Amino acid sequence: MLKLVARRLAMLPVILLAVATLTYALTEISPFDPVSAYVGAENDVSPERRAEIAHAWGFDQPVYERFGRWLWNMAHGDLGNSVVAGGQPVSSEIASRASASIVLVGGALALVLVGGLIFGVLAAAFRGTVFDWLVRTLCYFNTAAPSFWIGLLALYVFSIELGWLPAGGTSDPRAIDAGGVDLAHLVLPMIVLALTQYAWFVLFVRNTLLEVLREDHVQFARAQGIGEVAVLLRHALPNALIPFVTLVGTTLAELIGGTILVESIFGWPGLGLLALDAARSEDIPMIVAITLAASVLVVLGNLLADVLYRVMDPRVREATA
Amino acid sequence: MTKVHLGRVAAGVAALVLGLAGCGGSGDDGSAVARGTLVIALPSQPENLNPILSDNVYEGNQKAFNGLLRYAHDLSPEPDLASALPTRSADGTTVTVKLRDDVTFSDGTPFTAEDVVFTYESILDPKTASPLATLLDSLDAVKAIDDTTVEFDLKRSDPAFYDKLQIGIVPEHRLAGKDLKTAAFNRKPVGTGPYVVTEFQPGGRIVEEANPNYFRGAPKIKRIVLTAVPDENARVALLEKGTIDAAGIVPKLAPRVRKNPDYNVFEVRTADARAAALPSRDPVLRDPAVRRALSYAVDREKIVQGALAGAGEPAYGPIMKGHWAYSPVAERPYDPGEAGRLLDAAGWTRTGDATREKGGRRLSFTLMYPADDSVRKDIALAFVADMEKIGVDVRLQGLSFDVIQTRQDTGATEFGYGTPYDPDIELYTLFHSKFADEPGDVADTAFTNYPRTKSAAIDAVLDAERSTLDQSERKRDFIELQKALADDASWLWLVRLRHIVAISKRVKGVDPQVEPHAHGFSRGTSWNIEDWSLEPK
Repeated sequence: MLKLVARRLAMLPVILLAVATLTYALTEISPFDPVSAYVGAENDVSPERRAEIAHAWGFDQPVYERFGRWLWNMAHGDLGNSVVAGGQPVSSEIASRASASIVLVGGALALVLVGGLIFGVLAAAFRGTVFDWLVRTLCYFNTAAPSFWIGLLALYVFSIELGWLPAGGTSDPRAIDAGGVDLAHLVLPMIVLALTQYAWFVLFVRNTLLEVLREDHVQFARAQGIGEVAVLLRHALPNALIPFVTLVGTTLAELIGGTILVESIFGWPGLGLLALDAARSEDIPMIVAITLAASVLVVLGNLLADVLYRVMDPRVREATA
Repeated sequence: MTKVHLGRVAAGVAALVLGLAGCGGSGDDGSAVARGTLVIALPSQPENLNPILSDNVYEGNQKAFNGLLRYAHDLSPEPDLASALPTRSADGTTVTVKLRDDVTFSDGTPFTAEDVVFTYESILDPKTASPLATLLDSLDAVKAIDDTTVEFDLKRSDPAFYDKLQIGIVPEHRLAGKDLKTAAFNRKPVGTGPYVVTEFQPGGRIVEEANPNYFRGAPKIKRIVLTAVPDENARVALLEKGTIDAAGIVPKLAPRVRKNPDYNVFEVRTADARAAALPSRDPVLRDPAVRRALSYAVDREKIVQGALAGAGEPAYGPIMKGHWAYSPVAERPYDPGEAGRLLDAAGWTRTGDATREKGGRRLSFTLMYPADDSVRKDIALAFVADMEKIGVDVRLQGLSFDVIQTRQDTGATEFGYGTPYDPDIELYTLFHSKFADEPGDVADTAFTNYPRTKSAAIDAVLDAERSTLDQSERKRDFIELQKALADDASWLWLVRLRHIVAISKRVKGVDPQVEPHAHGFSRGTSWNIEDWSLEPK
C-alpha cells in the first residue's frame, strides 16, 4: 500500500508539468489579447502605450521564454502574480478564495454521498414500486437537464421570486465579518452543485445493489430467514459499496469542475469564479495555478479512492500485497 | 416528504462541513450585522483600487483618494487637494498648482508636493504599465517647487489639462521603490479621501469606513459596503428584500422599482452614448454615401422609448446636448425616404422588398455588440429593424470584446463613449488619424480610432482645437469637428443613455452629477457620497 502511495505521489510532478505545459500551449493559441484584458475595452490607450504595457508585463516575450521563467519561479515556490487581480500574488489570491470553494465542494460531496446512498438503497429496496419509478424518473430528468439551467432556475424560483433564500454571495453584505460562510447562503449553490452528480450516484447505488441482491450469498442469507432489511444493509450493501468508492474520486473532479458554473451563477467568491474571471481576462499565471491546484486535488482524490478500495476489498488488498 | 428530508440532510451536512473547514456561520441569529451601513451593489468588483493603475480616471478612486482638482456639481473644476485653481504661464506650457497644507493620508503621514510628483511620474513610467499614460501625453515633467507647490511642464499647451489634475494622489512613502503593478497597496490603498478601504474580499465585497481625520470633516455615513451583483434581475430582487440599499438598474426593470415605496429612482443624465463604428475597410461600409445615408434611417426617438424605456435622448455626435461645445449641425431627422434616395443615388438600388445591391454586392453587414449587455442588444435589435425598412440587411452578433477586436475591419460594432468634461480628452484619440494603426501592426488591437478614419479635415480641426486656450475659438473648432464627423460618418451615433439608479429613501443628500461613459464610484450619483446621510431603519 505504501508503495502504491509513494509511486502515485512520485508521478504527481510529472503530471503537473504536463498539465502546465498544455495549459501554456492552450493560452498561447487562444485569440485573446492580455493587454485588452488589462486595460479594458473602449479605452483611449494608444498603440504605443499598449506595446509598453505588453513589455512591462512580459506579454511580448516568446512563449518558451515566459514558460521557462514561470518554471524557474515555480521551482522556487513562486507562482507569479496575477495580471488582472490587482497584480496580487497568485498564491495569496488562491488561498484567500479556497475556503469558500472547499465549503461548497465539501458540502456538495457529502450531500451526493449521503443522498445517493439513501435514495439508491431506498429505490433498490422498493424496486418496481411507484417510489422507485419516481426516483429514477427524477434522476433521468436531472441527468438530462443542463446544470446551468437548474442553477438559474433555482436562483430565480427560490431567491428572486419566492425570496426564501439569499441571491448570491457567501454572507449578508452587512455582516461585520465577511470571513464566514452563512448557512442560508450556502444551501442553494451546494444543492445545485450536488445535483450535477447526484443522479449518477443514486442510479449507481441502486443498480449495484440490485446486482448484489441476486448473488448467491444474499440468497443464502435470505434462506437462513434473515429479515429483508438486515439482508439489504448487512449483506448486500457492504459489497455494493466497493465500486462506489472508486466513483468518489471522479465525482470530486466533476464537482470541482462544476464550481466554475455554480459559483458564477451564485456570485460565490471561490476558485471556480476566480478561474472563470482568469480565463476571461487571459490571466495566464492565474489560469495555470488554478489548473494545477485542481489537478493536485483530482490526483489526490483518485489516490484516496484507490487506497480505500484496497482497505475495503480484501481481494484487491491481497492481490497487490 | 422527499423535500423535507433533503433539506434536513443538506443543513446537517453543511453544518458538519462548516465545522470541519473552520468557518463560522455569522448570519444564524442576525446579530452580527453592522448598523448604519450603506450597501451598494455594483455589476462587478473593481480589480484594482490604485488610482494610477485603474483603467479609467474615475474607477480606482473609490472615495479613498483626492485629486488636485475635482468637479463641482455643474462639472466646473474646483480645488480639491489644491488650495486654489492652478495658474498657467502665458504660453500655456507651465501649470503651477498650490497645495493645501492641512491634509494627511489615512495612515497619518502629511500630504506634500512630493506625493504629487510621485503619482504623475509613476503614471508616465512605462514600468508601471498604467492605462492612464496616454491621457498624460502632453506632460513632460513634474517638479516640486516646495512642499506646497507643484509645477507641471507641458510639451504643448493643453486646454484639457485641468481634467487631468483629477487623478487620485497616492502616498510616495508607501510605494516608492516598489513594483507598482503588483503592490499590495493596489487592494489595501492608503489615501487622503473621505473613506478608508478596510476590507477587500476578492470576488466578494469591499468595505469602506469613514475617515475620521478627513480634511473636510468626517463623512456622515460611517460604513459603505460595495458588493458585486452581476445579474440585473438579482440586483432588483436584492433591493426589494432590503439586502442592498442602492444599485444601478436596467431601463426595463425601472417601472418595477418605481412602484416600491422604499426607493427613490434617479434618472441620471449622462454623456454616455451608444454608437456604431462603421469601419473604413469593410467591403460595404467603406462607401461614405452608405454611411451618411444610414443616419437618416435610424428612428432614434423610437429606440429611446423602446430599448431605453424613455431613459435617454437621441444622439447625433460625440458631444452631448447642453455641453458648451455642442452644435446641432449633425442632427438628422428620421427620414427613411431620404436615406433611400441617398442610397439610390450612390448606386445601391433595390427591387421590391429585396436587399439593396450594387454591382452584384448586397448591402449587408454584421453589427457586433458585447453579448453580456442587454441594453446594447435591445438597441441593436431596433437598429436592425430600421435598416430592414430601407433595404439594408444587418445581422447581429453578440460577442466578447476579445473576439470583436479581431474583426475590426469587417462589420460594425456598437460601442459606448462619451465624456461631459473637456471633449479633447476623448475625441482626439477616438478620431485622429494618428491613432488609426494599420491592420497587422504590432499593437493592432487598440480601441483608439477603431474604424481607422483617416480624414484630413478631422485631423486639422482636432489639432486646431487643442492648440489654443481660448474657449470661444475652441467652440468654433468643435462645431467644425461635429460637421466633419457627420460628413465622414465613420461613427453612427444612436442614443445617449440616462443611468437609472435606485437608492433607499433612508439616504438623504443624493444630488447626481452628469456622468461620463466610463463612470466610477467617484463620479455621477456617488460623487458627493461624503455628504450623504442615512436615516435609521
